[in-house]
Amino acid sequence: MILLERLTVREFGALRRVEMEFEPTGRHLVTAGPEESRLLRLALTTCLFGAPEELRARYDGASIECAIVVNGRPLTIRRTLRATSRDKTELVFHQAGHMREIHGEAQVRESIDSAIGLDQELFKFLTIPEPLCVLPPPTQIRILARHLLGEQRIGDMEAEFADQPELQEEEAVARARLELAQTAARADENEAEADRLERLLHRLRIGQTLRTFEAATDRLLKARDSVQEHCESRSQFVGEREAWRSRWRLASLWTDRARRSMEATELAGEVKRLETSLAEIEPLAQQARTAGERFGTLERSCAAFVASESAAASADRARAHRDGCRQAAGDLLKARADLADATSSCVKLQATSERAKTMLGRSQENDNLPAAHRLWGEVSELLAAGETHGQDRVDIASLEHEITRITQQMRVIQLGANRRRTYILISGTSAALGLALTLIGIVGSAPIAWLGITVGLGGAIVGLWSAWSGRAEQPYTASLRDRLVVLDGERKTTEKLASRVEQNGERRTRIEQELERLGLEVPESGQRAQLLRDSATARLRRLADGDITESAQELESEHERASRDFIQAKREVRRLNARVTALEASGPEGLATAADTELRHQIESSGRARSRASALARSLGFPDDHEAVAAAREAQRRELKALESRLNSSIDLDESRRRAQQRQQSADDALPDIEQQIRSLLHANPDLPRFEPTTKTGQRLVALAAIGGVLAVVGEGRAASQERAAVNAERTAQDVGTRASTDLSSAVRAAGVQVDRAPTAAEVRAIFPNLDNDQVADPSLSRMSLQRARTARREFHDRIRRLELRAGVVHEEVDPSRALASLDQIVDQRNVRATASRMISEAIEALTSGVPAATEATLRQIIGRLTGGLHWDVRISPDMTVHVWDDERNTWTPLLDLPATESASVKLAVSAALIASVRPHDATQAPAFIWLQVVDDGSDPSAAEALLDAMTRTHLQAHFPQVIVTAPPGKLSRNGFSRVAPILNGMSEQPLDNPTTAKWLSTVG
Amino acid sequence: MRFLRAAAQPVRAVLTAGNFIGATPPSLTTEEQHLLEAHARRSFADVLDQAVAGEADLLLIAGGMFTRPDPTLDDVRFASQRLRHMRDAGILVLALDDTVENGNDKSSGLSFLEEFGLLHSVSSHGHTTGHLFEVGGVTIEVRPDSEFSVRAVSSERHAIRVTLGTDPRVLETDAGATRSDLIVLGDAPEPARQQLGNTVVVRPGWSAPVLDERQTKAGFALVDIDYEGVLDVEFCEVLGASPVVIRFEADDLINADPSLTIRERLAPLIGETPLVTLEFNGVFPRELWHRCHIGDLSRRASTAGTLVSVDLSRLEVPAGPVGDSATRSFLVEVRRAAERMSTGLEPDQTETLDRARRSIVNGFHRQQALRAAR
Repeated sequence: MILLERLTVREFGALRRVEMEFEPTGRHLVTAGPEESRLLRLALTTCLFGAPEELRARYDGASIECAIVVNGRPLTIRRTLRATSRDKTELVFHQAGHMREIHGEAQVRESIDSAIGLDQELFKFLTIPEPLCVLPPPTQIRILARHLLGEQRIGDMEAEFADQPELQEEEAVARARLELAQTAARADENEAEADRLERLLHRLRIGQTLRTFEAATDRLLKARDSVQEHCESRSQFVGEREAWRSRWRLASLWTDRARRSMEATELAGEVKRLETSLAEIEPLAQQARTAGERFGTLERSCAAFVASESAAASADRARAHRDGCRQAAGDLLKARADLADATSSCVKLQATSERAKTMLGRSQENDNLPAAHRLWGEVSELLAAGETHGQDRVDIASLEHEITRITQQMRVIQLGANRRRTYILISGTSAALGLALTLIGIVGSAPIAWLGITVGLGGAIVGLWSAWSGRAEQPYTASLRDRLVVLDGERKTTEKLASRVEQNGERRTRIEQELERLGLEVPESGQRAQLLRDSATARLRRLADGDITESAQELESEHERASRDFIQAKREVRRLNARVTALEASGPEGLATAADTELRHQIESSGRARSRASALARSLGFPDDHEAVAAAREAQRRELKALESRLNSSIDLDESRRRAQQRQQSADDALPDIEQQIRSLLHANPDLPRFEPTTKTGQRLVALAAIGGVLAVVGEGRAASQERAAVNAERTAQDVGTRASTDLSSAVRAAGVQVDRAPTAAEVRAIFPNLDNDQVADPSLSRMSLQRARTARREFHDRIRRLELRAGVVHEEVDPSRALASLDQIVDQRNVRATASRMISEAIEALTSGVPAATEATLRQIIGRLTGGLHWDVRISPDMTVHVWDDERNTWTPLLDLPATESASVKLAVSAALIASVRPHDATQAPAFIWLQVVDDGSDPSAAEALLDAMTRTHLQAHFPQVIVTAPPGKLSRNGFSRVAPILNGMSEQPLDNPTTAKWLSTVG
Repeated sequence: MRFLRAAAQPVRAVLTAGNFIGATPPSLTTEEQHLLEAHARRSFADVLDQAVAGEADLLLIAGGMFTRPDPTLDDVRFASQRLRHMRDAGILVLALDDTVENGNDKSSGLSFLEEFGLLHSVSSHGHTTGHLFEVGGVTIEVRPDSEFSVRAVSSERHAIRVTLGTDPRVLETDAGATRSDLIVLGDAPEPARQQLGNTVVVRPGWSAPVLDERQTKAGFALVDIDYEGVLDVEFCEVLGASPVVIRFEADDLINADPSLTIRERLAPLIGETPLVTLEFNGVFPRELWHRCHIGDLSRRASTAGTLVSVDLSRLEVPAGPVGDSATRSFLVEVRRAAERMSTGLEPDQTETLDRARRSIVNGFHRQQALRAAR
């Protein structure tokens, strides 16, 4: 348990001199501005954890002293910040009944780390919480829980149970020895199986190759006979193919000649028909021109009808617009009348509102009369005391001047006295010397005696004069000393008075601030303050005796109502003003006149268009009707389109006639060439038929010749392919025989028998008897098994070599049973460590996972009080978002969605509940104080007070026996706090105990 | 404070404290604050009425008359009207001013009541000047010679010394423990009487209603004093100022409409009893807890003039989707982890678990001892 005992700050930014002491239990209120509050918290963390270079440079020379109690053991940390060198840091603590001091940044930091066990961030999180609406992620909660249990303690335990390299190495060696023994046994078994499979496969291969060799020899003889037979067949088919090709050529020429003659005849008839059609189309052009002119006239008539109807519609719109303008002019007159009424009403409501405001102000002033009575009384006392102090106060500068002057005089006198003492000493010496010379003169030489008498007398006179003058100055010196004592006393008295005056000044400033906050008069003089206090007393007496029916709340509601009515009336006046302005801007009277003119113009336009349309319709013999004219126009359009279509077809006819003439000419030109080709062919092949067939027979003859030719080509192709196949078969049989002979030789040699390059089948059967008796269902499986066995043999070899290197022993020396026992022992130890490590992880995980639910349970007990009974349940969702239960809407509401004024204290409560919940029971060194910050953000201070009140009613009180709250002056009521420490202008004042009301508020409600 | 009696008749004093006029605890709604304020006023008035009815000579208020240094005008008006009856009945009122603000000598509430001549206030911080009073043939002198006490004397030979205080440390001081015949302490809501040598210590309790879980009854004390000292101490209850407690078990509500059940049990008390405490015990499923509609009930009761407080200290709601709110201790969680891991294990594996757990416990205590030694 860590408690805060004392905090002393000097020259730390705006904090000039602050000394605060904290009770072990109870609530402490520190009233200070936002910057001072921030600096106080910063000073605490800076003192405990040090400051970065930037901070040291900013607060160079600041000194902070902090006393904390860790599990009943007091620690005092003193830190003086230096910009250019390292901080001066000291730690004082009890050890074995003696006070010990530690100096130096590193040593102090180590001791504090050991005592607190938290870094700066976590310490701030746990003691100076920020409002939260989302809990931190489980990883951060886990870190917090670990630190509260002791990060070093948990870390040491985890290190103890973690996998250690030497134990891992020992286990690896034991495992390698066991594996080496097992691998060697398996390698032996694999070797025997490989040998058996290898012998079997050799015999199978020789038998198989021998049978292949014998079959290849038989197939070679058969293939040679087949080649001879198919060569003769192919020669016969070549002759047949040439005969059928000549017949087809002749029949084709006969057919072509007949087709071209018929085509020339048909094209001549076509040319005649086209020339007749062209002659029929020429008269239609005149009819098309006449129809076009008639269609144009009808078009113009229709357009005139449309223009007439459009003008009529415009005339209707102009009539409606004119009526609207006349209506708007009427509205304008009505709006002007309404505006006059509203303005009058507004003036009356303004007067009512001002009266209500005045009444409310008086009522509020009455409500504050008790406070005003006290404050004005204090101001009066302070001003009276100030006047007294002013009279008693002597100018300290003149006092200092007088003291300096007297001190200088005394110093001069002292110098004179010193000089006189020197003169007396010299005089005494001279007198003694004179006496000695006189005695010498009397005894020995008379002139010396006279000199001695002269010197002695002179010295005695000077000495006597110096002593007399010093005695004469003694009274003056004594008077100066007395005066100096008096002046010193006056100076001390003046300094005390100055201090008191300064304190009174600060107190007066505070009172004046409170008076200004309450909206009360700040008296300038003592008389005015006394007058105001007497007035307040009289009013209080009157009000206390009287029966006031109208309460401040009623007056306030009446004022609000009057203000609301006045604002609404002003808004109505503005609205009417805007309406009148808008109506006037549009000019409804002028618009009505313009609409009349437009109406007349449109009616005239419609009449003119109608006359023109009627004239055009009558000129073509149609009635004066738009629909009839439109129908006639449509019929005329269709007729005109038909004529144009027929005229356009004459071009196509002319082109067709030209192409028919060209094709007729081409057919006539081709006939002589065909005749020449027929004659040449008959001359070259006398066996061809000489009679010319009819057209139908000729085509059949061409087809018959083509089929005969095709059949001959097919027969030739088949004969050639069979010949090629027979040749290939012969070549294949020869290759197979050669290969089988080679394979047989190889197989026999592979089996370990030396034979010639081409052994005969008989020789092989003699060497390997009973080859046909070796039968295996699937030889490929045996080959695969052998291949696997060989692969495994190589792998076993490599593995044994690696394991020998790893285990440090050859495999023949390893005992499998001993290796197994050794490994079991090592694994058992590892399991214990791994289980312990897992238990630690699971325990910390369980601590972490229980935090949201515990936070939820704590919040549930206080949420009703915090929200004024609006919410009675709270939930932490899996994404760590805090929700509150809305009883009215029957739904969960995220804390984020609540209004800021409602949620501010709940968010702070979430932080406090989280801090309390994250702390395990085993955490013996967790902070037991919490430092809350109430800011002046315009929110209702009662919410913060409700939080503090609720915290004392739950188990949070046990977690935070020491609660410190910083708030702006006047923000929180001091009633709920056992100790109040005001900070004004960076200086702390005497803290105030407030035991009874704090006790009351912690118990009642 | 010392009494000197000229006649043989004993002085009867009413001792009270914790009247808390104008109390508005911030955790209550505005409507509830008004109700509590009214209850506190009624309780104070009842104390004063009983003092008049009991023909008391003296009313000693041992702190906590007002909850604020600057009471509202309504509070002052109420107090002055009530105290005027006391003055008319010839009862002297002495009030301990323990509420200080900004280093003032007195709170403004008591200051101007004193100025009206309705009471005599004395400061617990010893700034009061001396006063002499005459009550029914008894002379009382108030002397500021202790930080926590105030004294009344009637003569130097026969005097009963009385000390008023709000801090129990007054019992440890020389002035309080050895020189006083009667010490009146207004530090706790519960009434109590204690004999310390020749000194009688009386805690009259608080007259204002208390809504905490202790459910203390509000009251005051009636004391007869003569030459011999304190003759008799009688504790009296302020009727209607103590809350009526209704307990609800989860099993009683789970098969019924909880809101309706609570309302039915609350209905006879609404409007009749000023203070009711609803106490919820047991495991309430979340849905059941929501169906109780506590906020609605509280608001309805407040509207009808009954102040409802809710005691949730024994309520348990099963945890939501995130974990459970079990007791959190590292070593307990280690044991639970071992129990979870031992499910379905062979005996030799269980032995491994036990060995691992013992290692952790030993290591934890060893590290703690090392840390403490450092």
